Amino acid sequence: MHELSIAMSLIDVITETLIRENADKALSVTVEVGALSGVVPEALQTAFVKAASNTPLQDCRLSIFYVPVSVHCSVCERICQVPPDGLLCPNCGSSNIDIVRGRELDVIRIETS
Amino acid sequence: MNQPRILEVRTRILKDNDRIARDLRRQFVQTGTFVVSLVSSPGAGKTTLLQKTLTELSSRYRVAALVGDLATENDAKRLAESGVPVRQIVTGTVCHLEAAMIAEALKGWDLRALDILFIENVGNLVCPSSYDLGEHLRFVLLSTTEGEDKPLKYPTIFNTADVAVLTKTDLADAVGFDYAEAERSVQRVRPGMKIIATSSRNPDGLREYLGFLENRFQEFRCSVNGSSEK
Repeated sequence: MHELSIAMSLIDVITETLIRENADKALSVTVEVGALSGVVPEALQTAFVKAASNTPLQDCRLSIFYVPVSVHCSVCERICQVPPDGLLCPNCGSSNIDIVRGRELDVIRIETS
Repeated sequence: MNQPRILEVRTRILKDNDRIARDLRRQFVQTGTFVVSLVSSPGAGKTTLLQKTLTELSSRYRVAALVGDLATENDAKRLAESGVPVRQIVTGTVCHLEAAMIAEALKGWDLRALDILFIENVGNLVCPSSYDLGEHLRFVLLSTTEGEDKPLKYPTIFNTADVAVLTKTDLADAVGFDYAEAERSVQRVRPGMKIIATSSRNPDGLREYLGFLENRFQEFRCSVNGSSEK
């Protein structure tokens, strides 16, 4: 359960952004959590509520987009979605693949007022 | 009150950790210190493997270790028996090491006096996977007593490691460990990952692993020297 640490880092990113942009308040924040990021979206949601309570961000809404793993196959040149415990090209079966999505742990946008 | 605005931020949540890790890695290159971290579940044999590693390497290299645990300094005491410098990082309630903890623990240490620094992470197959520590090589340990499908249950930690080290192979027969099955599990979560079998109990059980480590260290030193000559 390191989601509380992640939530606190997220709060730091939001706070820095508000100061830099001279904004008063964050209404919502959108993040992407990849299937290979090591973070569980539900746990992050709970941790964020806990970490933000009694702070200026306590009314900030967190939207989490879960990003499945996609791999690029060097043999058949396709990009396919795969489960995190099956990193093979589902098209040709090759293991000669690169992960192109699924490692995200990113803040995408912040809605401010 | 300001006008509502949508700010496209697109930044890593752990950007601060990533920055500190990048600075550490740059510093390690400058001082010529090769940094190796170990992650695994609790009880997979990190401390025993590291104890043997430090003892074996200390006659030829200047080695040291940082060891992370939620509580106690027991592991640091065990590792210090090898006679090399060891520092314990007690994380309290934090279930993983972060780059800032490494930077803090290294304060006052002369990295130029170190060839290889080992970092033993907190025993945990989930949380350490999100944090870059600035290391050059990350080993994930899998013990024969844990079962062949551990990689499938914890794909992220295997995916973020460089090499898998199979430990406790002296117990493999007793627990009916299936090597081929374990290999398949690892390849499904990290295609092409090298697996090195070890036993910390058998006198010859670390030969391949130590050879691999030394090769990687030499490659690191060559690349560091090469880039400083340019």
